[in-house]
Amino acid sequence: MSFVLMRHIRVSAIVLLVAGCAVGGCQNAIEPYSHRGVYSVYGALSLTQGHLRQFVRVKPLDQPISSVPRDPLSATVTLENVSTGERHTLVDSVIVFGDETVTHNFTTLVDVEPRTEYRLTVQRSDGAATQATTVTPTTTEASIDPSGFTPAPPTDTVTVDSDSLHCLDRFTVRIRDAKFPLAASVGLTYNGQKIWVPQTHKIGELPGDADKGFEFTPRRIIKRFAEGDFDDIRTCRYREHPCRNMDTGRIEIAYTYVGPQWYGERPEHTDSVGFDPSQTAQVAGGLGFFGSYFRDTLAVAISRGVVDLGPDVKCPPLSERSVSTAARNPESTRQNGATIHPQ
Amino acid sequence: MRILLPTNLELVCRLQGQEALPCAFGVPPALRKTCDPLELLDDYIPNATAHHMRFIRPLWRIGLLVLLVSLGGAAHLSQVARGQTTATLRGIVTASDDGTALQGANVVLFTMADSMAQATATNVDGYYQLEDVPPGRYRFRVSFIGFETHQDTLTLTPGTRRVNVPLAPGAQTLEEVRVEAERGAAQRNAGLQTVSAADLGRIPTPGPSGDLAAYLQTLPGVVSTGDRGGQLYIRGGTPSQNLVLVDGMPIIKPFHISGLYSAFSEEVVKSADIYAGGFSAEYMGRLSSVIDITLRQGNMKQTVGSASVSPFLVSARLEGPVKEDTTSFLGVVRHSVIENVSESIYGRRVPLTFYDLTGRYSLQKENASCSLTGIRTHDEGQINAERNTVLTWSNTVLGGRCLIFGESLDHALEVSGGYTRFENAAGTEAAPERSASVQKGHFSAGREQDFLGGTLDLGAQFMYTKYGYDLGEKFTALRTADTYTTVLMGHAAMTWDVGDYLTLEPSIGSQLSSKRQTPTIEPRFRMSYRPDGTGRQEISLAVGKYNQVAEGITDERDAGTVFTVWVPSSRTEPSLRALHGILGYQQQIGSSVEVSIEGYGKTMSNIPVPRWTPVARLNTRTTPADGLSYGADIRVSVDTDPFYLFLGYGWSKVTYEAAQEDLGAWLQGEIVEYTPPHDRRHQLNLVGSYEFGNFTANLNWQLGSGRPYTQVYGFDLSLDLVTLEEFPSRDPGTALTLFDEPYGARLPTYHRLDLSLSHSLDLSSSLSLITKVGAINVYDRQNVFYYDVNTLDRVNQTPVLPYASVRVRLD
Repeated sequence: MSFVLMRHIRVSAIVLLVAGCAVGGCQNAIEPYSHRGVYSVYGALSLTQGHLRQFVRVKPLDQPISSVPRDPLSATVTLENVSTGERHTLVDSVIVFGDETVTHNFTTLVDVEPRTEYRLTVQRSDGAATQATTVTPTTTEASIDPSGFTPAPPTDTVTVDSDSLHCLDRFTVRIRDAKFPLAASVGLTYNGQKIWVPQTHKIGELPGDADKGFEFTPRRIIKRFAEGDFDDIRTCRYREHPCRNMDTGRIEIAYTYVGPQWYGERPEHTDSVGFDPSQTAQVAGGLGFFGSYFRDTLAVAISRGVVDLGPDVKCPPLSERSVSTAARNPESTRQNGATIHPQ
Repeated sequence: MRILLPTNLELVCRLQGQEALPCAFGVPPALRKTCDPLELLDDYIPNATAHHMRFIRPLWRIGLLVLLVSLGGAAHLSQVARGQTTATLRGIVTASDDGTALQGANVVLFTMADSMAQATATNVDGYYQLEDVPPGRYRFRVSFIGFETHQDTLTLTPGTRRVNVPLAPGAQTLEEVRVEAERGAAQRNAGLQTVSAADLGRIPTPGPSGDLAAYLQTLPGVVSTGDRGGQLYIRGGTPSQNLVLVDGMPIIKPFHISGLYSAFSEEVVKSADIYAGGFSAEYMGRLSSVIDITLRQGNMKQTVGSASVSPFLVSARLEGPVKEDTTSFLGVVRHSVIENVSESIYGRRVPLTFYDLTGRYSLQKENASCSLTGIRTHDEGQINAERNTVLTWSNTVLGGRCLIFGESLDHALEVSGGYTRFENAAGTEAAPERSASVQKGHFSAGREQDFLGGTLDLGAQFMYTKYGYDLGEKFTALRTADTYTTVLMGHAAMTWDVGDYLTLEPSIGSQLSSKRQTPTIEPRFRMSYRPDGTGRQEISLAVGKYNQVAEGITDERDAGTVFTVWVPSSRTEPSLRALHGILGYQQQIGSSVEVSIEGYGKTMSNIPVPRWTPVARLNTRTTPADGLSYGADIRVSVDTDPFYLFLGYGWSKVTYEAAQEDLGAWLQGEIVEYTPPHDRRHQLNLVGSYEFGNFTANLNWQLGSGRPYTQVYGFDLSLDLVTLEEFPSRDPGTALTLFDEPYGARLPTYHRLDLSLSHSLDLSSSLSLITKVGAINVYDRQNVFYYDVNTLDRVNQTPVLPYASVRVRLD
């Protein structure tokens, strides 16, 4: 009896297996990847003359982070000037972060032109490709008031030198015909350290015209990282400081503006982890970001001499006055958002 | 008359350590104020906010009012009954061998000219009532499949007469009048499937007895997302939209982490009504479906028990009379052992542990049938053994229920109350990252009465719920909170029988939540039409409106976790609501074949779905979506002792749609429509059972088309170039796993065959040995569970799993 039963069971199982295959197919594989995207690309062309190299990071999307090989990617990365058809092939370089985060960064030394469309193509050996285009930004003019000096960008650092400018003066940085987003920082060397203080949050439409820009006062810039030593302008400490401890009278203004296809605002659904890749529709066959920007630096020289506060202010000799916290503690690297780079 | 309400108030007073005060009717207002239960409630719930109490206060009073009106109606009608000119016949039908109540027994009064005067069927308590019977002599007949028919001649006079009927096991009786369910036969009616313990036993499971969880998965329209996790989707509804009741008390998640088991084994279940939709207003508070389980009474005659062991679990049952024929106890304990033995037996680790404890104390007296029930379940384990995410959940249910049918009541009064707790957590074993809980205290009362030529069922329920969750600091949408709500629910349901052909059941229910400003109004209607006046052929229909004022939030995108956060619906957002429509036809062919076909549709509004976000990580943010579920199923059953066959086919489609802006999906268009992971289009289920000699062979084959899943778009190291403040070569970027569009692909077809063969050997007149051998997934189909984007593993469901079990039964 049990033999018959077992035979029935075996036959039933086979019949049902065949039925399952017939109805649903015996195919049982699952494809975890959609293969709609090939690579992620992250890079921005720099219009700045003398920029050492253009940089694009490329990552195969179907490879987990820990599985990216250290060998060169089997991909060809080209940068094409859409107007002229001129192409440049970028060279792979590997940067490893930690033990296992391998990144492939493709570079070229080519200069790019303003107001020109460039196409980036990352082509896999089987022909699948990711493409992105960007239009480089227009040139612009930047100036620093009260000097009224207007450099002709893109150019190297421009120095506006005037003994009549002092650290109590208010300066206006004006960037003509620029569009948001703009970024800017004011930098100076202080007690042997190069310090950059972000000013991006202050950039806005300047009153009276369509230019973008911001205002700053060297004294307030220095107060942001040396707070506590210059509390009161009526005290005599302030008379020589803050500009007194600047290594030079040179103040630099670094600014960056970008091409028309730069990021919009961050979408709200990202929960603050990175950005939403759905916003990168400009990348076909992949995701990421490909943009362009111009970055330049202006400079202005100011006097580090004594400020004449008028005949009624009597101050003791300089030797009896205190020095700044930053001067006493050169290891401080970041205060109030200022970035300090050792010279 | 004496009613329970004052007793309830006394209970509250005593909770406060105060002397019990006479809070019944007629108490002077000053005294009433002294024992105002609301004030006691204020003290008893010290954490309740003033805002919350502002809502509790009117709700509590409204609740009292409703109960008073309801119960007062009973008193009034009782007074009327005292002057009645007709007779009422009522009683309990029990099995004479073990003294337990028989549900579904046919009770018929014939005139002396042999024409049927009245008929009814017993309810879950074995209770029946025939009323408005003209005084006179009648033949009284009580029958039930598998029992000797009881016949008697009664002379009824105006007033109420109680006749309790013990039925002796014996030859099967064919009824000339079929009133309700017969023992062992599953019944269908507009979304309702009634199952018995015998039905559960037909499904092969790797344990000594059948289980409700395994049975449910054989029904068309019931979709499980995998054989671990205990998630069941019924006709498009999610697990948190299913109302599970055990002896009238809610239990949140009674399904074990192994999808083959629940807290309801064949050994404890008496019957279960499974409404896939279209349920009447008797059931309130859930959107999609109802699983209403009635537990067995313990043996009222003698102490019996059983013990069993299998590679999956060990179990023991003990039951017996506390006082013969009056009170009994039933205790069942089951504990999994698969984690301990899996390596040595199957050569691989199965990290699943669960247990359940069930206790029931039953009382059956002349004027009341009561039960006290306690259930404790616990589950712990990993859905993916390679992933360091341990899931735990537990249920605690404790409460009682009474059906009171004393002389002073013209109709039985049903009261119940209890406490329900559910906790779940997820994270590493030692330190869960997130946890959430629900605690409910509830009290309800209901009764039936004659009204406008039909039967009116009135009921009210008061439910106090505390929701709590702690999601850790890394989850920004919800972190830590305790929320209290009070919900008052009430319903009125009519049943009109128009001859033998038509039954109309309109009902209306309402929910008033302290978290919402207006009560819900939920009209529902069920109807069945029998063209030939018998139950052999029936057309049934159900339509209704449903609301749910609490939400269970699960990130369905991650099949590797079933962690659920329960929260009350937002005060400002519309509550979850649904419209159901069901049309069915059932035909009995001969005495053994039954065919049914049923079509259904459900529209669901404001259901919380996870905001998509392309980035793969736990997401507790939700957005309201609208859902549409529709389909049809066909079932054929052949029941010719000793052969049983069930074949069910179901086709269904489930779609959700939400505003793209709200959903955050990586898709184009203003409205995003997608199919959720439980959208299984085709299902075919085959259940077979064959008894020969002392052997029983069982078979279960399931075939299902692939469910939707979401593919991975890619693994990225995202660079934030927005400010260009960091030179990219110094920045490794942020590692992201990115989903493609939601549920854009489908898994392969699922199919599985389970077989078992059991043998019963009587060792003595009271001792028997039941051995069982079988296998789950006999032909070792590699069914995909899911692809884990965190571990990059394809996680399969259960491979072939042979087993053997032994049970010793003392009868």
